[in-house]
Amino acid sequence: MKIDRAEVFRYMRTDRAKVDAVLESRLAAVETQVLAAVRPAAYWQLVKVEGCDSAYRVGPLELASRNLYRELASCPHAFLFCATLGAGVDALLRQTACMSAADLVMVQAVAAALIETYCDECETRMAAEVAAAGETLRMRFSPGYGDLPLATQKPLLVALDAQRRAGITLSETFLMMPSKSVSAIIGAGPVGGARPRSCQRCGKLDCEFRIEE
Amino acid sequence: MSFVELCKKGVVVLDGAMGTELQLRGLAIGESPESWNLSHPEIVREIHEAYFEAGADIAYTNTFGANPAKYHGAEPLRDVVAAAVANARAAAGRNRLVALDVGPTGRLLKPAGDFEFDAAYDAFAEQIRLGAEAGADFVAIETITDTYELKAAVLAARENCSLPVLATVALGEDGKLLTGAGVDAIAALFDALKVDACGFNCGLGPDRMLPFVRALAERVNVPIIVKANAGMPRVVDGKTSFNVDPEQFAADIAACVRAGARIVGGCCGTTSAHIRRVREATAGFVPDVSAPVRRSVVSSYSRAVELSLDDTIVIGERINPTGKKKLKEAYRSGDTGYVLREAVAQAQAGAQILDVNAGVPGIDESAVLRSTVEAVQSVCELPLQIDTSSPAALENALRHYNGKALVNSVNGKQQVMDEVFPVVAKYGGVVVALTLDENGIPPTAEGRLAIARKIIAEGAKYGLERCDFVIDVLCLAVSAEPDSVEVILESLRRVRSELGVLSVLGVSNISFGLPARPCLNAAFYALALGAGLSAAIVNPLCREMMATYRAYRALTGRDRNCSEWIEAAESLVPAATVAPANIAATVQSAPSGQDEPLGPLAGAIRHALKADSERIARELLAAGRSPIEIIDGEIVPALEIVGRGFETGKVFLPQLLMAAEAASAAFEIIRASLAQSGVETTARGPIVIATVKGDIHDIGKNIVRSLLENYGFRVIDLGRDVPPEKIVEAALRHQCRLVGLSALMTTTVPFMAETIKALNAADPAIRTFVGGAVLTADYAAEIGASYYAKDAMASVRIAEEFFK
Repeated sequence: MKIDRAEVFRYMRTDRAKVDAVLESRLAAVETQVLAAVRPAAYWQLVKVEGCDSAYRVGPLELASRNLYRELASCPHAFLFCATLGAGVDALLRQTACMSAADLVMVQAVAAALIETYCDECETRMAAEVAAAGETLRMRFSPGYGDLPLATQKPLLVALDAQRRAGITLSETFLMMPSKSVSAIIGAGPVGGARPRSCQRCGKLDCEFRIEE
Repeated sequence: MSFVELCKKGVVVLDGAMGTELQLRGLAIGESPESWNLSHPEIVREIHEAYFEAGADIAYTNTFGANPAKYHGAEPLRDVVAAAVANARAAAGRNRLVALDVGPTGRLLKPAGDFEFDAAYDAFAEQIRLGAEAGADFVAIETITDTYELKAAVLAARENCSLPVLATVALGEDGKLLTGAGVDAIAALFDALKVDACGFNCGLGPDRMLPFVRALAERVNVPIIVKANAGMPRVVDGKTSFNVDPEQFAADIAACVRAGARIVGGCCGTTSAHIRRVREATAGFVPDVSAPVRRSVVSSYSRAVELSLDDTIVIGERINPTGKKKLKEAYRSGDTGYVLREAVAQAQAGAQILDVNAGVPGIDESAVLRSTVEAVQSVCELPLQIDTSSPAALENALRHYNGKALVNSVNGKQQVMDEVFPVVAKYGGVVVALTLDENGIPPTAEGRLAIARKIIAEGAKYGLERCDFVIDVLCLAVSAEPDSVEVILESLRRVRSELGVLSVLGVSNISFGLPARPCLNAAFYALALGAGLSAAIVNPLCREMMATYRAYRALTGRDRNCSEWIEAAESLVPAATVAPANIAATVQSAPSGQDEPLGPLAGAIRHALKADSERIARELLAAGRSPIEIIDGEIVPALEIVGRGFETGKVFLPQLLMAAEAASAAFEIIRASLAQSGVETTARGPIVIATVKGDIHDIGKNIVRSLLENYGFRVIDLGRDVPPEKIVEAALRHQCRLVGLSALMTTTVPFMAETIKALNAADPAIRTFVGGAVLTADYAAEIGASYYAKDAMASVRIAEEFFK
């Protein structure tokens, strides 16, 4: 997988133009370590979206989130999706944490950029699966976004048999392990129906990664 | 017919999928399949009957998810398991067998996850007791993806029933488990836990399993199981389909049988048609009788290390407090960080196994050894040598060790053998055998070999074989025993030639009481290697020792093309000193937006040049600058400039942290110099920090810990997912007045509020600072925190203000 350096610097909240060779060379070493630790796995299912906005079903999931419903508007289908970089990244994070916080920040940023890249790669494959039916994908919508409760993780990952298919488990507080994992519901509907991706639709105004347009 | 009798008959055929069959008959995705044992017994029986009719010898009960940690059905677990066994039994009749299917807990064990090993054990034990009571013929543990969970499950089966235990793991495409173990490490654990049959299920189709079956056959002596998927699953509109048809499946399974599999069946997506073809394709197969495998392997959660008479390995000695004041201090004060840094540094230096010893007077060795083993395994994937003379501590550590350990040690004393061998027999392991007994250490090689023979013979009574031993012929100081070296070398040669057994030595003992020890140690190490030493317990951070080890392997053709030598060459010669002019150039060219005049050390720190900072600190001391002057005139101002740069957006987080690490490295040089002149520097603090209960995201907290330490504070880090009462207890025990709490998720902030309340109730003088992605100053005030830290540097400022 290719590391998106611009994303890495964004996650480190670091202005790439202002860093020196010392940091660049440490980052290069960290990237090698992360790539060696990554064991990506993903799994998805294409399911039907049925019902109206107060109570609707996405495959086996009964949901009430209005934010997600708006995202799924006019979508006859949706993908249930999970992906992870694997437990090796967590092992590397633990090891790095006891040796160098600077490296830790870099491992974290590189891994965060990589899981996004991996999800994007998976989306390309999912998009190809529905292209023949004239459908395109909507945004990746994860439990915890907007009014979709974090607790939706549980039925979502159970439906995916995520432990067996991708090695993802949940803590009692619905956090995914390995930590560099993503779960989501992704609408598939008519071409042209997708709304543009935008931070403006999100209510988290103090998000440190918010992009103003 | 028993399981053992069945295995003698040739290839044993298992059943196929249960879950996907139930789905075909109406089980909804997400619905509990186990509940159908009670609600639809006729359907479950029908599936079992179809498999038996197709030729299966064994049915796995419909209890994959009947683990109390995972099962949340309405019916009591006891009833579910009893019904499942009864359903399978009804279909099995008298001539076929019923295996209690035991799936994973659904939780990820620590340190990768948040579930305790002992809790996983308890969960497995409950299901297994219920299954045994219900009359299952044996236990089939399956679809495990983590070695630690495998160990918990097998121990639970061994200790809670008397049935045979089968265990299979689910490999990824690359032949590894989720937590990283390949076939070699998995096989080592199967061997250590003495399962009755072992192998693979789920995850892959049988064609992809073939190379891993071959690899397993070279490593275990029990029947190998293959219960493969019908290829890979694909779900469209809620319907799952698999892509390998019965014909192909059976052909691939037959190939696995030729590669060594003896118990075969199907997992996800397989049907009675698959099993029928498997029965036909494997009928009449007569397995070769191959010689048993004898290998000396130890393992961790992800790695296996084979000890061999054809090569030699390095065991890192630094986590042993004997003669190490700092480590003793670290054990006494519970400073795990120090131990972990030693572990990672040794691994990076090239050690293949790490010794772990916690024998410090006045501490609870059993508890500390176990927690140290667990902590080291959380950051380091090397197998460990568990080093203790206490049988209780050994058992506690071995039980919780993730893998197959090297055990240090047994000796020829009858009482010691009586205590140690049962523990090793139970948990598995390769044992270091010291050639001493009730009469002490024999002065001759003959005497030491006699003890080695006695130990090996006694071990045989417990099922240990020669390959399970490493003989330590004991290294005595040459200053006290001038003839000891020749005795040691002769013993090494004879252990190899007469016993055909591996050897080990604690090499550094040879120079005890003499100056310039590394040189003597290295010379003796070379002699011992020449005499056939299989493993050396040495300091891998000592350049001379690693140079000797690598040179030996390069010179004797073990390091082919000297490639490892060349790769390590840089670390084997003394560090080249960078010319001061280069530093000046780097310092000047580095853009940091600050231009006030600084000394050379402050410059190196500001630009995060760690090695240079250490070197310049040494040079300044050598030039007669007073330590206090260096600290106040260089280190503190440099940190201040970097800190201010961060606060004003001119320096970024990684740069701040790198500069702080450089400062800390320079400070450590100065602290050591002060300590030599009898002046102890005391860190400010202590500060207790933790990520609160429910939250497993600890990167932010780790950054804060590190920065606080680099700024000269003593930090007691309690880790992640820490319950309020533990934080209160630690704060009181360490008489700590400042506590830092971190939470990343909205859902875990309530635990933060609860912790603050508990701290206030325990001691109103305790102040708290909080941080984490979802917190704001207002939110922090609302939950009663004394301070809000918006970033790591803010935590430092709070601590500076607090301890002023």
